[in-house]
Amino acid sequence: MSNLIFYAIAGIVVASGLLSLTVRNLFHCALFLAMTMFGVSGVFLYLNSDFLASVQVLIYVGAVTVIIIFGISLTRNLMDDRAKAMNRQLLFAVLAAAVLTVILFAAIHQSSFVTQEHPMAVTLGTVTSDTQSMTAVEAGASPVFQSVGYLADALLLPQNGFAFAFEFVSILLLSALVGAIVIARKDPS
Amino acid sequence: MNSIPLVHFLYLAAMLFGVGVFGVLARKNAISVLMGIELMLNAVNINFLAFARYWNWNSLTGPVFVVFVITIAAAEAAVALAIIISIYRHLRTANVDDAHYLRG
Amino acid sequence: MIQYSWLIPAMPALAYALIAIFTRKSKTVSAIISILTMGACFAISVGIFFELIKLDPANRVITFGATWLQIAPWQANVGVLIDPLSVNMLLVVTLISLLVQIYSWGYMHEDERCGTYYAYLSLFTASMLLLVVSNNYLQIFVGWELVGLCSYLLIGFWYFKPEAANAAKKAFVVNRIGDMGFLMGVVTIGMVFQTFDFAQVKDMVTQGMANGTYQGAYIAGIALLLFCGAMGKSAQFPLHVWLPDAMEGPTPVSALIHAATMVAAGVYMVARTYVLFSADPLAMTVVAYIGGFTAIFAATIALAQDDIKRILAYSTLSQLGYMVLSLGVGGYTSGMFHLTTHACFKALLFLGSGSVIHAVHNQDIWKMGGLSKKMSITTLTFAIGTLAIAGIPPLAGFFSKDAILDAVKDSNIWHHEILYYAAVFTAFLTAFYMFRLFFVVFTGEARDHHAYDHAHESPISMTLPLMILAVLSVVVGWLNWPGVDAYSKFVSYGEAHLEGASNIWQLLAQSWLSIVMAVAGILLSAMFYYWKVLSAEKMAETFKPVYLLLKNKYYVDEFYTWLVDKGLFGLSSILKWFDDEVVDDGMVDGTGWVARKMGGLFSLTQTGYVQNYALVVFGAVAVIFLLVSF
Repeated sequence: MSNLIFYAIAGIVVASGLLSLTVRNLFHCALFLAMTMFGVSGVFLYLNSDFLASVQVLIYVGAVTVIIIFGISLTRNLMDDRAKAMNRQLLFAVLAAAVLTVILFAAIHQSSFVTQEHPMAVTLGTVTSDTQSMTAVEAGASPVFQSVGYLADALLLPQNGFAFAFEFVSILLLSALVGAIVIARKDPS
Repeated sequence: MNSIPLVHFLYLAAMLFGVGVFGVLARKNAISVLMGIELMLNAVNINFLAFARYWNWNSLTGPVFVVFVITIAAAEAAVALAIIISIYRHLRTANVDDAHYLRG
Repeated sequence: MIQYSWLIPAMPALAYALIAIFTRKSKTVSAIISILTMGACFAISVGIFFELIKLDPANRVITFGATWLQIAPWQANVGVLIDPLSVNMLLVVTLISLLVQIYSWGYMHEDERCGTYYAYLSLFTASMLLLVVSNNYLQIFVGWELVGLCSYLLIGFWYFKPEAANAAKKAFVVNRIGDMGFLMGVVTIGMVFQTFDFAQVKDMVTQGMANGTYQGAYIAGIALLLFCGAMGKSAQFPLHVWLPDAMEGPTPVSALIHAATMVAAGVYMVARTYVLFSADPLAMTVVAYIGGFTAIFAATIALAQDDIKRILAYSTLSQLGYMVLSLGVGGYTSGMFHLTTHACFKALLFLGSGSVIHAVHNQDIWKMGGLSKKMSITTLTFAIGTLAIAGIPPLAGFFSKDAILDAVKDSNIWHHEILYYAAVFTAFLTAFYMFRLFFVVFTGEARDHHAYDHAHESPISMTLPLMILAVLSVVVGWLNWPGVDAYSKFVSYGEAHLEGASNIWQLLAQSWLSIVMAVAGILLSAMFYYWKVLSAEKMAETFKPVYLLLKNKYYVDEFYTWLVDKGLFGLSSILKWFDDEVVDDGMVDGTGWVARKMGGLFSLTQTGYVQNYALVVFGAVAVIFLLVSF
């Protein structure tokens, strides 16, 4: 059952992703993108990452999509909806994307992941609630997925080696923020 | 056994990545290109978590990188939109095609 | 005294710098500096000479020096080599230069650039002395080129005269042709022997020839390259054309060039590098024949010239031919001896002609005449010089010329009898044209009365050198008085080669042919130009083609002009066409065209569309994947 739900989510992810890049109306595109992000967060749940799933929803659906909708509305006034949505190299783009996907599929298919049995291949119950996730942990999963705390430790405790990068990313975020304002600001002249 | 094999996650990520590539290459509008990039990043995130989940159980590196990727994606989206708005202000369009000053 | 020998080239160079920088404006100070310096150089040279003859003949080679440049594996040294040969040259150069500088005071003091003139004279002499005392091939080359430069400056001293400027350029260019060969020879020596030092090269050649390391022809090749330089400097055919034109310079400069500082350099250089020449008969034969040919060739030209200095210039060519011939047939000592005696009487003749020109302000002998009544000292000294160059015993020319003829007769090179009779005939021609000059200029009636009336004897500063040189022209030959042979014992290559005659009568008896030829030349000349029983005009009319040929110097200049005109300029126009059409239009423009077109071609890839670039990136990734997986 839960497997079926996963495949349904996966189908939604791919389909809405495709739609978000093919429909002509940019607002629809943004909405399909939000849907894709929701689907991806569902996939994250299947990977025992409840915290990251919620972060995914918060950031992508809540922030990035909203920013994109802002951008669309700021640049839309002159956009002609009847204009072609695709550029001249559409055919080659489809070809390149398809070939890359096929190559990736072939690579995955040939890899050892197909047959390999993984020791931590745990059985999952329903993924709709935290308790189910906890169940999975009790069934032998690593405690690292249990809560936010482990991730926080990993990111912030110096002995784990990511503390500096974490702080640095925060600086990057800040400078991106400032930079975005500077770039988007109206030219004084 | 109702567990989902690792490769299915990988297939999903591959498809999502391919869709993103298509968007980046084919869409006219710069914002759509940005969306394609976001899809590619999400595909990568799925891969990170899938491998973390199935491959290297005791390491938190995968989730940690997902955190970084999401952060940087957010920053990138902000800067990219700022650039798009700036271009729009100069060219009165957000089409990538129309910004081709570098033509030889 | 020998340890101060480095001062000999250094002092005139210093004098040059002093005059050129400080005292150029003052004629008197400049002249005094220059003359005193040269006097000091002469004094040192005499001191060195007396110190050297006190030494045992085996120890008469003294050399010292310092490193100039170290370019591994080569080492360029600067140094001094004192041996009988260089001392001989030092005495000749410093003495002639001293007398010429004294003489110049009388001749040039009215010229406003007199100070500059003395500066050039000092530099000229310094260069020649640097060349003479050199102990290696590189230094001799430096002096050699400096001499060439100074000759250019002095021949073109009156640069406002187009003839002088052209003559200076001609001298420089013709010398460059020879110097090219000389430079190649020097570089070859450096490559072959890894040293430039005379003594080391000499040892290596001697040993190498003995044990067969070097082929004779190989060494001869180097020698002939060096000889190219000597042909340029010593004005041997076919590079002789600059010397007759060099008389455009002030007459004392001509004296200096012809007697001591310039043309002697070539002969001296051959003597200095004699080990290379004597290594192979081929080199010697070439040298001998070029010398012999130049001797007779120049003598015939001199028969038909009208310019007093031009006649003397061709006589110099002829006498230089003698010297080169002598070196070529192995007469090392006689060649150098003739250089020494010739320096005296040729300087005398040139300075005498300068005195004449100073008096009549003309150089055409047919506008002179009867000058003996006005200029007794000049006439007397000139007569001595003429007798000396004609080879009349017991004057200097007789001894040295006879030694050369003797050396030619005794040599064993290819058909030396041709050279011998050519040399003897040249002696006849020399006597003839020199006495023609003498009779026309100094005897008979005045032809240009205006010039004649203003003619006067030159001042003491000019006649004093003439008298000194006249005495020397008589006595220098006695250095090799038969039975004494002082010169031969002093300057010799290998074992001293003594003349066969043991006393003067034997010598006179031996050389009856050359004496008869000289006297015959004088008598014939007197019949034409003194007694006037024969008419030169009629002769010239009868043999008009020959006369014109001689008068026009065998058309060598015209031939060179034609050669340059047709050959060089023709080649140049072909090259110009090639340059215009192929290099410019084809290659230069073509390169630009190709670059532009290639740029246009490749700029097609620079579409400016970012997504094109992204497509290329992803497409390339796909292609690489496919390539790797198959």
